[in-house]
Amino acid sequence: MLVLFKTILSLSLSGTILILLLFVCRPLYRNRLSKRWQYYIWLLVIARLLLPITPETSLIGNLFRQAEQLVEQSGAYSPAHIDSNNNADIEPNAEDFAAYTDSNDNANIESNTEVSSTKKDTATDSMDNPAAEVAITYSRIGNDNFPQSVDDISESKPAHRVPKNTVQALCILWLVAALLLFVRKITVYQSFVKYVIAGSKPVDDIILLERFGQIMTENHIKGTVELCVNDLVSSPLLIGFTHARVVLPTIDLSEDDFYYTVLHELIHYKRRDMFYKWLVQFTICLHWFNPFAYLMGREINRTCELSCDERVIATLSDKSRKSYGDTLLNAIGTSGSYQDTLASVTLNESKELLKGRLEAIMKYKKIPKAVQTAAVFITGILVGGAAVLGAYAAPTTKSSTDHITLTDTSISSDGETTNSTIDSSDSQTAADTGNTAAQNSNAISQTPDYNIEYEDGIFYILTGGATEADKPLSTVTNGYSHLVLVRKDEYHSFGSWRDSEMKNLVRHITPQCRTSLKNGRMTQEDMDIVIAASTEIQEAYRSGDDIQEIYRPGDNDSVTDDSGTSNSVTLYNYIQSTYYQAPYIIEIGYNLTAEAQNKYSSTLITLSDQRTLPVFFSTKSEKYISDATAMSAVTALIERIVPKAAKSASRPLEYPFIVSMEYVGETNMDSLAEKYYDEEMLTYFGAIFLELDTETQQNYLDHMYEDENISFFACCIGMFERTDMSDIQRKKNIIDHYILKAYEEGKVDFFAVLSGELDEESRKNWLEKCKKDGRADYFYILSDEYEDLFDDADFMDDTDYFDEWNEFQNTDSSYEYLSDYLEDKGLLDEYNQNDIITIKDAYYYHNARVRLLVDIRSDGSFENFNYNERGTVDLRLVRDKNNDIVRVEYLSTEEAAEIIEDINDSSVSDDDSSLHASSAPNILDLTRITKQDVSTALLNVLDSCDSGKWYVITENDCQYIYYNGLPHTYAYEPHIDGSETGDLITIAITDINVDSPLLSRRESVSDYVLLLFSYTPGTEGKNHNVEITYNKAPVTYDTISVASGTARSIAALYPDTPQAP
Amino acid sequence: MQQISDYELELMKVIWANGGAALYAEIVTALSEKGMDWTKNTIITLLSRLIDKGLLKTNKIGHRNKYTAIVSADEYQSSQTETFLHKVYEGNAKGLVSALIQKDLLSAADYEDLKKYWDKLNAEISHDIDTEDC
Repeated sequence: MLVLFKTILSLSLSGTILILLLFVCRPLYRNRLSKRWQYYIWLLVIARLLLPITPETSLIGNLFRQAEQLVEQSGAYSPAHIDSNNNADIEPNAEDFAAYTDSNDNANIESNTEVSSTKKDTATDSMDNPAAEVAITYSRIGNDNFPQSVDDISESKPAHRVPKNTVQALCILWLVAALLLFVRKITVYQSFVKYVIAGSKPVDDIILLERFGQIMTENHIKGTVELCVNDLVSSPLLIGFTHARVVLPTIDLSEDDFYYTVLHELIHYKRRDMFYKWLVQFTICLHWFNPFAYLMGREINRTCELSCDERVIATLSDKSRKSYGDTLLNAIGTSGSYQDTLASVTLNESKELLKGRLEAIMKYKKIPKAVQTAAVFITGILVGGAAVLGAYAAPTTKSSTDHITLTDTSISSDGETTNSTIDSSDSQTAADTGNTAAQNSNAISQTPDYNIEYEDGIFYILTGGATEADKPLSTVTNGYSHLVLVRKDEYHSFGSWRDSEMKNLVRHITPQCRTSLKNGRMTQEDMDIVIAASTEIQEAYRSGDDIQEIYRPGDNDSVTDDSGTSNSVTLYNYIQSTYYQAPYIIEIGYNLTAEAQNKYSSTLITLSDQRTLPVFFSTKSEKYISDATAMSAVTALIERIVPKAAKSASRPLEYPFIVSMEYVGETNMDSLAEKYYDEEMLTYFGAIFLELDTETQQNYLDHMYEDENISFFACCIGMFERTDMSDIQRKKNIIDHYILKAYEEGKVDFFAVLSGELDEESRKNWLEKCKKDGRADYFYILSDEYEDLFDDADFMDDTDYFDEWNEFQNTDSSYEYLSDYLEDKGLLDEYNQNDIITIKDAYYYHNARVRLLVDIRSDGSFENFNYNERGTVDLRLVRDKNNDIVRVEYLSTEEAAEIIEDINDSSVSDDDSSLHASSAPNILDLTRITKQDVSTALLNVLDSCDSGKWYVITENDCQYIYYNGLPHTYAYEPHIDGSETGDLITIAITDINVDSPLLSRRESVSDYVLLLFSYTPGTEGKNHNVEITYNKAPVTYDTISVASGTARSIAALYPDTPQAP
Repeated sequence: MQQISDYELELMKVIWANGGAALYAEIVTALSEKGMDWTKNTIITLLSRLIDKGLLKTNKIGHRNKYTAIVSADEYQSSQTETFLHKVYEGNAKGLVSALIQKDLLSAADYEDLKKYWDKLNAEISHDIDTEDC
């Protein structure tokens, strides 16, 4: 016990120095460091005051030991006595000293020399006198007393009895007083709680209860807190440890007052301030003789409130901050009869404190990063200081020294964790993620990989991480096969071919790829992938495999399977994801195949509904079967997933499979998250993401968004699926926030990810918005996500989104920004010189948004055309013969109205009927037709034609122009014009990309052009001379004559055409 | 029996409807079906008040609490009726029944049909009250 007292004294001294240090330095940090830091830094002092941990050499420890030995030397002990002391007591000390004297043989001499050498130090040490005095008294008693404990019953001299008793009495006094004080504090607190509870009524008003609950949810406060009202308390307070309750003096509060009051108390609850307060009380009781301990108690109370205020107002605007101050003032108005601030955490305590708090609220500013770093630095210094100050450690044996050093490090690392929460060094993480994101994209580009899926005549080549969700809407395929290369945010289509052509797919597709490559529409890498995939598909056709079966969507594995075996694979729905279930991170899958079930060991668990379920364990996680904690975590997790699995369309949870488990403990999710984020452990990060507090989650999402870390972002957004119902609103808010941001900042990939999370209503709203803004690209993403709904008949009747989509072709969807479009056409500089600038999808002229932009060449054809219904001015760009812009002029109202009418007309009347004119086509009544319309004989001829060459084909009374392998921009009808001079027919085909994006655009027919340009029934064999230009350049063509066959379907198309005699 | 608030009664109804015992998740689902999407804190707080008032008890199943009604719906109803009868009609059941009959909600035929029933019930309740008063 004396050793204990001695330790307490040394701790008190050591703590006092720290307390004084903090008080002296307070003017320096008071307004610079966060109140939170100012609050929690006292934990360090408390640790110093309570924990007798010390490095082997510490100031106070040395001080005490020196004093001890001084006494020994001067004391009148018999040699035998000294010997026994040496053996039992001094030896460990000598061992300590030996650490720096490098010798430990002769303990006696050691300690003697040590003492003589430290004598001088003691004299020069300014602080040592009082301490030494106390210590001297002590060590004498200690040494006197010690022999008794080792059964060395030597007779003590009467001279030593008197101080021994006195000090012993002092020691007992200290202990008794400490105990009494503490017991009294507890009883006072208990009676206070009893009193408060007895007089309080639970709040029955559901609106208040809900508001209260809402505040808890918003601030991610776990646990349950009761809300009571008691008009006898003087101020709002929080009582209770296990069953916490907020007690208000009145519920007759304004909404603001209620909110702030409750939030303040709940923040106390969240931060577990009552435990801190009791720790302080306990410390004060132990150090009751030390006035500085009380001073510290007061300061902690003060900073507690201040830091709590700080936390509350951190989220508030300036105005709300003022009203928070009002709340504090209002609270003082309500008076109660029972004043006790002893150990309850109350909203306000005294007027002086209130003044300080109000001041702090008004002065509140966000602490800059640099200062946060400084705070960490200062904390580090203080921790170091506290450790160096040390304490008197009771002479210990070797093994317990080890133990102490161990706790020592754990404490300092605790200190560091506090730092890191203060710091939450964002910039570092941000930088790291930037790097990792870059590495990510590298990794992708280095390993071109793809999956092929076949659906309704279209082969989708999914690559670059694209999934089924990225597939574009299926287009009309007319029984022909297409190939679509799907990347996450773009796609290219190729085609189309008959089944017979598919056996030579590579030959057919290569020219199309070359064209796209030349135009810069796809990269070499894309082309490699397409060719590789085509080769694979071609082989599958040649060997007569079942295409449907091999490339079944969603069954990626079968791509790598050798054909044939894939037929025997039974379809199952194995689902795997990673969860955090305290204290483990568990990677769990379910619906394990029967085949796999045989491979892994399993155990039975019992769910709460008494259902037993076999759980399978991977070889890696087998060891957890015998671990009760792990198994209960597994059971709890399965319990958690079962209802979700039942809700989703997939099969219910059966045959769960534990892929891996990792013990992470329950503490410090923040640093864990940081680690996983830095190390790019996506699934693990995702698993614990929801365990972080709201603010941290928000920060991470912001980082990911800024760093364009789409994979992490998508994963985390998806995690909200797992939250409680109460979080639905929050999830919605987050998604609304980011989707708007992504939309405005043109981050298509984020938009796509987020659009998947929209609920039906929001999605409809977004579709409307995109429609209004004319953002075809975003509309497309949304409608793609919406695909399921197209099956819904009601929805189709409601709005025909396909038709609306067609309307959107008004804007060139292949360009996200008009500037890119202009750059490609070489118009950008020219436009800018003429004061026409682009912002995203709109042109601006002298700061006004352009509605109609008509850019006309000297020959009257369009160089460029744009229509933006939100624009306010209409422009015409006039060009000279050199195609330079001569002037920019405004269109007259009439002109503009006429053009806009044309636009609207064309989009309304634009339907398939124009493809098949009902009356007979005369010469030059150019009609684009499909391969389905022609005779078998002609079809065979067409199939034998090479891609990328022009043909003029004559069959009976019809003449056709044929070209296969148009670039993908031919998803829309090219502009065709013709004239006849005598026997010469001139046909001009213009790439829509060159001409106005607005003219004659229509949904894809196919990637070939088959043009019926002459149909004169009955005039068999009539040949015209044809001159074809493509994009103004004359093209050469081969002429083919199909001798046999009847143009039955052509005749069927034009039944009204009278037969020539 | 202690008086409970309207919202506590809602919770009791949910638990009674669930066969006299319910898990937290079941309560949440049932409440939201009724359009009462309360926060977790509200629900747990109300539940623990009901425990304090002796209408519920709780036992753990795994990590979850199962709330079991100690008082059945019938017991609660009759106890409430009794309280009401004593409070408003000072134990005069006839007064209560006649007040009910005076309500203009019954057709003449219904009235005749129910009259016999009411008479019978009236006799029973009066008998109960009489014996209790003795």
